[in-house]
Amino acid sequence: MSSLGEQNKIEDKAKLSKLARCMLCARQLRGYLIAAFCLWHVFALTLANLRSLEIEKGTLQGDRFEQVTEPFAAYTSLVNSEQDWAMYAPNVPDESYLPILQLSFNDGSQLVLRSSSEPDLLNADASNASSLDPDASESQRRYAWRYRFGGLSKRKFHEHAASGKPSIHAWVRHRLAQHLRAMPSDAQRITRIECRRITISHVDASGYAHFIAANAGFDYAPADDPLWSGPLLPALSNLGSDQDG
Amino acid sequence: MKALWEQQRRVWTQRVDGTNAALFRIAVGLVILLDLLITLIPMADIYYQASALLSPETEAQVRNGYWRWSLLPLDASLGLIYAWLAGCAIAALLTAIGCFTRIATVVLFIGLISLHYQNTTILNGGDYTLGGATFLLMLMQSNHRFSVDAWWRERRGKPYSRWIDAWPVRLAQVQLMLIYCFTALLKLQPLVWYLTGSYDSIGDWAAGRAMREAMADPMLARFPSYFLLPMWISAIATWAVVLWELLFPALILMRRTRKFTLLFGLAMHIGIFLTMEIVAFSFSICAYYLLFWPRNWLPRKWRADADANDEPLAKALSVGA
Repeated sequence: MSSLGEQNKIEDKAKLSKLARCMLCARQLRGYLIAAFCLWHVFALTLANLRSLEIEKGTLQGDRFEQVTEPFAAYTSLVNSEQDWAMYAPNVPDESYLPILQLSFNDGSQLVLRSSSEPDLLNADASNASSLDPDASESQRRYAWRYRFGGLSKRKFHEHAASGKPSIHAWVRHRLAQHLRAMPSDAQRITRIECRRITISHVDASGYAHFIAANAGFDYAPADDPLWSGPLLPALSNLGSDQDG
Repeated sequence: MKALWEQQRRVWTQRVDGTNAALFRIAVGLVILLDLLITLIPMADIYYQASALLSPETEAQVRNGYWRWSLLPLDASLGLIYAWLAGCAIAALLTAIGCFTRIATVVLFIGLISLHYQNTTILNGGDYTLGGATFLLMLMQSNHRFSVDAWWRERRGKPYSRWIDAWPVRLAQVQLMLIYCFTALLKLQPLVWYLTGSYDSIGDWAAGRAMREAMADPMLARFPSYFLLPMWISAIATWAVVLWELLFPALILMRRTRKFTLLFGLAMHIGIFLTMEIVAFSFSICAYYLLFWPRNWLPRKWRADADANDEPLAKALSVGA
C-alpha cells in the first residue's frame, strides 16, 4: 500500500514539475515575443525617422533605402505612429501660401473670397480684386496682426490645399457653397470661378506681413464636379472641364 | 558587452512604479477628450464631409499606401461621424478615469486612427503623438493606479500590484527621445549640407535666427511677439533649444540631468503654447514627460512602495519609469 502511495507521490511530483516546466517555457516564450516586438518597434520608428533625413540637399537616402525601409514606415502608419517631426525644419519658411477664389460676375465686377486663415489687409478692401495687385503700394499690401487662438487644423488644411494637392477642390467647393449660402442671388450672376494661390511674406523689419502675389491658378466648373452639392450656376452650366487650367 | 546586455535586460524587464503610467493615461485621455470637444466635434460637419473640407481624392490616395487604415468609409454620413466622435469621447473619458481601461484604450486607438485617416489634411504633429500614445496605452498596465478599475479591485480584496511591466513604458520613452533627436537632426541638416558644399547657408537654426523667424509667422504666431525678441536673445534661445533637443536622449537618461531636462522642456513648451498656435502638440508632448517624472518629485503618498504582493525586483528600483 505504502509503496503505491509513494509511487503516486512521485507521479504527482513529476506532473507538477512538468506543469512548472511548461509554465516556465510559456513565460520564457512570452519574454522572447515581447523582446522581439520591442526591438521591431524601436527599429521601425528609427528607420521611419531616418527616411526623412537628406544626406545632401535634395538627396534622400536613395531608392534602395526607401524600398528596404518601406515596411517599417508602413508599420508606423498601421499603429498610428507616423514619424514626421519636420516642423520649421530644415529652415523656418519666410513665406506662407493660401488659396483664394476670384469670382467674376455678368456685370463685369469681381469678388475675392479668402480663406479663414488669412489675416486682414490693413489698408485695402480684401474682397476687391484690386487687392491682388502685386504692384500696389507697400501699405496697401500690409496685413494686420491677428491674435490667434484655435484654428490650427483649418490652417493645416489651407496650407495643404494651397500646395496644389487635390484637396484644393474640397476647399473650392466649401468656400463657394459658403458664399452662396450667404448670397444666394450671386448664383445667377457668376460667369467665372478662378482658384488662385496667394503668397504672403512673413513679418519683416516694418513689423507687418505683406501680400506678395497671386498665381494664375485654375478655373472651377461646378457642373463637372460630381461632389458639388450647391445650387446650379446657370451662367456656368455651359462650361466644361476644358476650362480647367 | 555582457554588462550592457544585462543592464538593458533589467531596464526593459524590471517592473516599474505604475504611478507614471497612470498619470500618462490620465493626461492622454484628457488631451484627446478636450481635442474632440473643442476642435473636432464642433467642426465635424466641415472636416468630415465631402461637401466641405474632406477631399475624397486625397484620402483615397492616402489610404492606398503604407498600410493606413480606417474603419470609417470615406462617404460616411454626418450621423455616423457624430456617433463615431461621441464614441471616441466616451472612450477618452473612460481612459482618463481608468474605467474598463483595457477595452477603452483599444476603442480609443481604433476610433482615433479611423478619424485621423478620414481626413489627413487637418493633422499636425500633436495628432501623431497622440495617435502613438493610444497605441502604447493599449499595451501598458496603466490602470494599476488612480483608476476606477484599481478602486474596484481593491474593494473586492484583490488589489492590483502597484508595480507594472516596464517595456510599454520604455517604448513610450523611446518614442519621445526619437521625436526630439530627429527634429533636431532635421533642423541641423542645412549645416551638414553647407559643410559638404551642397547648400549655400548654414540654415536658420545653426545661424540662431529660427526663433525670431518662427515668431514672424503670421499664420502661427499668437500675438506680435516678434518685437519682444531681440536677435541676440533669439540666437541664444534657438541654439539652446536645438542643442537640448539633439541631446535629449542622453540628458534624460542621466539621472543627474533628468530634472533639468524636464524643466527645460516644460518651459519650452509653455513658451511655445503662449506664443504660437500649436496647442495640441505642446500638451500631448508634455503628457509623455509624465513617464520620466522622477519618483521623488511625486507626492510621497502617490509613490508605490514595494510590499509583500509585489515583485522583489521592484525594491531594487530607485527611480520610477
